[in-house]
Formats: sequence, C-alpha cells, structure tokens
Amino acid sequence: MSNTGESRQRSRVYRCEGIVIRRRDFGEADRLVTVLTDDHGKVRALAKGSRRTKSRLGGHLEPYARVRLMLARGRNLDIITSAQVLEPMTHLRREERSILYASHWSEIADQLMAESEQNRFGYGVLVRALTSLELGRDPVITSRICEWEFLAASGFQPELFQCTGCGRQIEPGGNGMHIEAGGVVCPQCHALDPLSRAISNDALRVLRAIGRGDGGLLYDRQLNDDLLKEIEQLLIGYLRSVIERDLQAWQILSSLEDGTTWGTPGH
Amino acid sequence: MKTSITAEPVNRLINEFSRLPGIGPKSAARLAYFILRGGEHEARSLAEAIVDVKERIGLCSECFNLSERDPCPICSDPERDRSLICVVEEPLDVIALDRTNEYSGLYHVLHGAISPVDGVGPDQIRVHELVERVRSAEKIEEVILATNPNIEGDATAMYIARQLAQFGVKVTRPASGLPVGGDLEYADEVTLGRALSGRRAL
Repeated sequence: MSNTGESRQRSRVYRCEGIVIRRRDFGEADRLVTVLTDDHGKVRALAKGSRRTKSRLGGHLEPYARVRLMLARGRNLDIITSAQVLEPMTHLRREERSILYASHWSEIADQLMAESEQNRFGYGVLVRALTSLELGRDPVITSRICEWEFLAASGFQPELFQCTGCGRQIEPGGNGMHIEAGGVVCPQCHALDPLSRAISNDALRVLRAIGRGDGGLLYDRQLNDDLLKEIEQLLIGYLRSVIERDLQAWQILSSLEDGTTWGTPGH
Repeated sequence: MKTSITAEPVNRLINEFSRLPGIGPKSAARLAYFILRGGEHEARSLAEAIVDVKERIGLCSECFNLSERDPCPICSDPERDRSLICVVEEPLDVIALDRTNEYSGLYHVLHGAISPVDGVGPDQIRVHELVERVRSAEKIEEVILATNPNIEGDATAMYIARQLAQFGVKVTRPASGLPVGGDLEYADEVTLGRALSGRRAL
C-alpha cells in the first residue's frame, strides 16, 4: 500500500494512556506537552489553552500523573482534545526529592524513547518507577532499576556476561566496565584499556539481578553505601555516554543527595 | 544558489520578530510587513519604546520586580505591610495578585521555578536572595509562597519552606481549589482533593 493510502487510513483521532514527561509554555496560553504513551511511544502534542485556570485540560496534564488522552493528528503537532487523570500520583508531589527523581526518569525517557514508536516495555518502566515512588519505596534502588530498564528498553543494555573486548566469558574478579565498548571487560582487557573502570563482583551481581528482572529483591537487601555509589556511577556514566550529554535533572538531584546545594537550610 | 527575493533589512526584521515567544516565521513575516506598510513615525516610536524599556527598566534590589526606580514603588511605599512577603515566579504574577486588592504586603520575584528537566535548580532563581532578605529583615512575620500550583511551583515552594524553617516565620501557600465559574465535572483529582481538604464553613 502506498504511503498516501496508509496515511488516509490512519484515524484522525486516537486515544492512548500516557505520562506527561515534559511540558513547556507555548504561545499565549498553550502548552507543548511531551507524553510517554503505551501505544504510540513518545508523543509531542499541543494542549491548547491549558495554562488558563479554567482550562478543562490543565489539571489533567500535570507531569508524572498517569492519564488517558484523546488526540487529534495535526500537520506538525498533534492536539490534545481531552485528558483524564487515571492515577494522580499525589504522594509523589508532596516531596521535593520524589519530584526530582521523577524528573530524572522523565528526562531519561525523553532522551531514550523514540517518537511515535510503540514501546510498551519503556512505558511500563516509567509507570513502575513512579508507582514505587508513590508507594514510598527507596527511590535510590528504584532509580537504578529504572535507569537500567530504560537502557534495555531502548536497546542500549550493557553486556554483562561476555567481555566486550575479546568475547571471553566473564568470571568473577578483576573485571572492568567499559562504557564506550558497551559493557564489561575481562581482567586482561581491563588492564590494557585505560578507559575501562573497575567493577566489583558485588556491583556486577546487582546489575545482573536487575537485568534478570529481579531488581525488586534489592529493596529488602541491605546494600552498603559504597556499592550503591559504584552502581550509580556506572549507570549514570553509561547513560551520559549513550545520551551524549549531561543529565540536567541528575545534576540538581545529586547536589541534593550530596547535601551541597540543598543540604542545610539557609546555606 | 537561488537569490533571496526579500530584501536584507526585511529578512533581518523577520528574524528578530521570530525570536519573540509564540511568534513563528509566518507571524514574524506578517508583523514585519505591517511595520513596512505603516508610517515612519509608528516604526520609530516602536523602536524607541523597545530601546527605552531596556535602558530604563531594571530589577528592584529588594524584591527583584521590574522597575524604573530602585527600590521599586511597592518596596518604597510606606503604606505597605512590611511584615508580609508574597513570593511569586514572574513579574506578571505581581500585577495579577495586586489587582485583587486583597493583598497589601511586599513581594519577592523569583524569576522562574525549580524545573530539574530544564536544568533550573535553586541556584538559577532568586531563592538565596529571598533567604537573605528574610534573615536580615527585622519584622517579617509571614512569607506567602504564591508560586504556580503545578509540580514545578510546588517543588519550589517546598524547597523555600525548608530553607525558611530556621527563621521561625510563618510560611503559607495560597489555597488551591476550584476556579470561580469553573465546572466541577472537569476538575482533576488533585484540584478537587485540595478543594475538599481546604473547605470552609459557611
């Protein structure tokens, strides 16, 4: 079938479920909204008049809420014609730390998810992470799971079982993580490449558990701070390399977590 | 290479207009041709008004609102209640709040809200200036955090509230709920929830 035929067959209006991951003011009272959806991947759409207090859309398009949307296809941008909150994520909104984590995951989703390309796994990653926040689970563990799963959902999952240098099976001890090569390297390749950074056996075990889908078990384990920091540095470094720029929300979030910017009130 | 059929000064004007918020290339061209069709006096008057506003308007050193004078007319008004500071995101919010005639205190303009996805943290807005202002002022009793009732505004308000906790001032947030003339059936759950929890006896 020709492209023209296909586009004629595409319905002018479509419905989907989604989470607003980004929005910015547009024109007099409109907003340009980026939504990660279940069936249409990342969608950028215009919410006309949504900045007005009496708008029927406004309150339903708050970031991180799970919403049901109806959209009309436009020439350049789709138009949101109706929105209904399914899960408002009210608890998440009550804590600045939760908002920062949600922003961090939204930024990753915005960077890694493709426009108008269905990615149900990617959508599920964000829903699960936000729901964990809403349930009060440890955001640090949730964040590492979410970061890994977004990499997996976009095809950038690091290799953890075979050396990305020589192809050898990875055994415990003396391994490295080579971000540019896309995964772990064996002790021999690690020693030869200055870009490879050491990865501990525990960090490798935790990453493999997340990769297997057993990340949920980590909430009940007492992981020490050094191990958590190592995994954080590996995943954030990996994400930066894939995205090819700094993660803006992460910079603000990490300064909160380190207590430099947000720590003691008044300083 | 194909030569442009539009003269260079016209192209330049179109480019300048298209940098304005909400103005696309088509609107910019329409505005440019409107200026071209109009008289020289109107064009000069517009150009002078733009230069004038940039030369004469600055930030008030106390509240950071836009003003021709420093301190601004609000900060220097002796009739104003100096024990109250209302914190807003933008200068336009000052105008909106002052129009209500319900508030006669001072303001503090942050010039933005914390928005991590856009790389805007507390250091990029005038939060630390507010903290200093509350620290050094003698008789501030209440700080009203009138940032927008959205997720960025809520995050900013929470951050400021935490920063001000050490000074023992009362920190409040305007009530949020249903807009006058609005339709209950279209309200979202967060707004309705807040409207119900903030209900008042008649």
